[in-house]
Amino acid sequence: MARSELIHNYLAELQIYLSRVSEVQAQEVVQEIESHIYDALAMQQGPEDSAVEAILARLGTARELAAGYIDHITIGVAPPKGLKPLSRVRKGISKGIYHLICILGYANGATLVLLALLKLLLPSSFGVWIAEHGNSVVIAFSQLEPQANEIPALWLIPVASLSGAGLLYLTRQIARILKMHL
Amino acid sequence: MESSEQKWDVQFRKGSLEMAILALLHHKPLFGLQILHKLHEFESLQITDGTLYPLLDRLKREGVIDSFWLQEGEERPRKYYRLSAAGADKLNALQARWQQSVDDIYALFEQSGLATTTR
Repeated sequence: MARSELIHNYLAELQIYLSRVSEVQAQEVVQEIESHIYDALAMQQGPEDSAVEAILARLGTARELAAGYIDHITIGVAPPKGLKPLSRVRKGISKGIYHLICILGYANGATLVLLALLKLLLPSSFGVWIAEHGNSVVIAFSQLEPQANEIPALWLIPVASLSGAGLLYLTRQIARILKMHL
Repeated sequence: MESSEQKWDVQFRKGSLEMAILALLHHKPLFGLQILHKLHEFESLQITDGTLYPLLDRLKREGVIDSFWLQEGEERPRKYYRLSAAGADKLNALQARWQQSVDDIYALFEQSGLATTTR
């Protein structure tokens, strides 16, 4: 490999490994090391290619050299820029899921409980019908489905109230767990 | 045994290297390679190029040295380091402390019947 290519590759690699420090700082480090390499090269005797290799060897690998800087620069420093949007995206997703679960859970639970209450309060005008020749079951006020057959549905009260209460309880538990991790 | 000796050496050099760099810059500003060559004149102060530059960066962050870029004539720009005011104070304190500890160790050697070379 040509000498300039060796140096170029080393500096490019160094720049990459220094990505955890600010760009300005990384740039200055790379410039200083570049200046060092060419100065050292000018003072070195012998064939140039092996001289470049010797100089780079004394600096250590680009990764080791970068680590020497990063070790003291990043102590107590905030995480790199890239992490922030990432955690924001993740937070956005879990917030969306949290709200969705809350809406679905509470709405369905409340509907079921309301259904039980309505059947309890208005047993005659509210009930379960079998419509469309047994193909569908409709729970509604009596006026809505005049042609359908009503079936006795006192069981609606315990079933709806229990499942409604269960769903509300479950939603609350899940919401609480999700909130803890947000 | 070798690694134990190296560990002692690392401990020993840790503080002395930083003090040596401050002392070198006491006289005049130097760039990295000059500092390296100066240190290489002393057997116990030799470090690799890859150790020096991060160390200079750390000293700069601690505020004991400053740096500036300088281009002389046709040559490529070099990053020079010089002692800051805080660094000069630090050097004075370190030097006094070093002297004290050398005196103490020598006194202890003599008390323990160990031969001490002339200083």
